[in-house]
Amino acid sequence: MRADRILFLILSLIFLASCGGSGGGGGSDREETTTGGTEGGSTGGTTTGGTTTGGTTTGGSVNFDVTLDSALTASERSAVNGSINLLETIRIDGSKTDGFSEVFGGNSESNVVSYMENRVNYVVSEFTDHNSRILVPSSPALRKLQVYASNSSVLFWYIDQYFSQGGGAKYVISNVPREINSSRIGIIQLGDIFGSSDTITQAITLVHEARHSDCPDGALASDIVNFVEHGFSPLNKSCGQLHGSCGGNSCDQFAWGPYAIDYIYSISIVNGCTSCSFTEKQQAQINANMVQDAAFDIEGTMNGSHGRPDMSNSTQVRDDL
Amino acid sequence: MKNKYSYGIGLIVIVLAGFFVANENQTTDVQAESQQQSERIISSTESTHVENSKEIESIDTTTNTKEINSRRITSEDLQKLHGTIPSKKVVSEEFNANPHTPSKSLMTFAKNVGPLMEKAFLNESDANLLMKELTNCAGNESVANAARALCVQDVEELAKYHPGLKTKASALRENISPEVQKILDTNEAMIKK
Repeated sequence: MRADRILFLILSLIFLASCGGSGGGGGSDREETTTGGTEGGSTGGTTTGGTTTGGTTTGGSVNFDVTLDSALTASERSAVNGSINLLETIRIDGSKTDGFSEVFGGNSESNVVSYMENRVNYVVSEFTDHNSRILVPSSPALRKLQVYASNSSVLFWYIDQYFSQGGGAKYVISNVPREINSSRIGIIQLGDIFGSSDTITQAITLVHEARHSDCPDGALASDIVNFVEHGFSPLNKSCGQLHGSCGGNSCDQFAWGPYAIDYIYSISIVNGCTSCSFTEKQQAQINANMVQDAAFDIEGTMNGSHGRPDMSNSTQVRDDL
Repeated sequence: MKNKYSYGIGLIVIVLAGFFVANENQTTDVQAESQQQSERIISSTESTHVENSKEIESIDTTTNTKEINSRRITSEDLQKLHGTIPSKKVVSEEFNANPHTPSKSLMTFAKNVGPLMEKAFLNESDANLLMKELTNCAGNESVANAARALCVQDVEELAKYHPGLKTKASALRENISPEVQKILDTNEAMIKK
C-alpha cells in the first residue's frame, strides 16, 4: 500500500475515534418541544384540544407525551424533562402497595404514565400569566383570573363553557391557540421551587397535579358563572379535585383526591421501586409521611369505606341556576 | 526518501496501537480492583461484629484510605444532619406556601439521612452513632411529625441490619407519640401482604 494512502487511513481512524456520540433525543431549538419519550420510543400520543391519546409502547417502555411551552426557561425545561424521564424509566411493582392498581389501572410504572398521559398535556412556566394566554370572545364578563392551583385546567374549562355560545375559549401554548374541550386540557404551571427540587420530588408533584385534571361528576353551572363573573372559588370541589382547608392547611375534601394519589404513589416508590436509590426512597417515604394527613381519611379509603376511586372524567354541566 | 516516509508512517501506527492497548489494560485493571473492593464490602457487611476500624483497614490493604474514610460517619456528617432536622413550624409554612409540592425541608433532611443510613448498614459502630441522632429526632416534639416518623422507620431499618440494636429500636417504637405512631401504622397497612 502506498504511504500516502496509509497516512490517509490513519488520519481517518483518528478523526472517527474522536467524534463523541451524539446526545439523546428530545430538546431542540424549536420554539415548542414535545417530548419524545425514551430512546427508541416513538411519540404516538397526539394532542388536539383537550383530547390526548396514549403514548405508544416500544420495547417495554411507555412514553409520556407532553408539550412544553416555548416560554419555559432553560432550567424549567431541563427540570421537566428530567422528571418526565424519571416517570418513564422508574421501575415500580405496584402490586405491593394498596390502592395502586385501583388508581393507576394496573400494577406497573407504565400505568402511571398512562394516568399522566390522560391528564397532562402542556407545561407552562412559573412566570406565565394565564390572563395573557386565555383567549375569549370579547366580553366584559371575564374578571382577572386568579388561579388557586398549579393545575388550573378545570377553571380554564369553566371559562370555555361560559363562552361556549360565542365559540368558547382557547389557551395559547407556544403561540398556538389550543382548544379547551374538558378539564383534561391538562395545563400544568410549574411552581417556583419545582426546578430546584430533586427529580423524585418533581415526579411526585406531577402525579399529584395530574389528578386535578379530573372532573368525575361534571360541573355545576352556578360554579361556572360565579367563578367567571365574580372570581368565586367553586363549591363543587370534586370537579378539578380541588383542595379545601383543614386547620389552615391544604387538604383533600373527599377520598381518592390528589393527596391520596400523591400518598399512594410515594408509598409505592418506597415499597416497590426496584430502580430507585435508597435516598430517593427516603424522600418518597418522608413525603408520604407528610401528605398522609392531607388525604381524606386515608385509612377508611384504603379499607374500602369510601368505595373505589372514580378515575373518569365528565364534561357534563348540570344546570343548578 | 520514500523509505523514510514509510518508516514514519509505520512508527505512527505502532505508537497509536501501543496507546490503544495500554488504555485497554488500564481499564481492565480498574475493573478488577473494583470487583475486589465489592467483594470486601460484602464480606464486611456479613460480619456484624467487626467494630474496630483498624481491623477493617488491615484487611483492605490495597484499598485507598480516602475511600475507607468515605464509608464512615463523621461528626461533621452528624452535625450536618442535625442542622437539617426540620421543625414543625418550618414544614407547616412550606406546606402552606406550596401545598402541591413536597416540603423542601423534609426532602433535604431525607436526602441527608439516606447516605448516612447506607454507611450505617455496613458497620454497627456507625449504626450506633446514627441511631442516637435518629432517636433524638424521633423523640423531639418540635420536629415535624413526618420527619420523626422517618427517624423511627430508619432506626428500625438499622436494627434489621444490626440485630444488637433491636432492643433500642423496640423501646423507641413503644415510647413514640401517638401522632407519629399513627403515621407508622397507616404506612404499614399500605403494604400488601
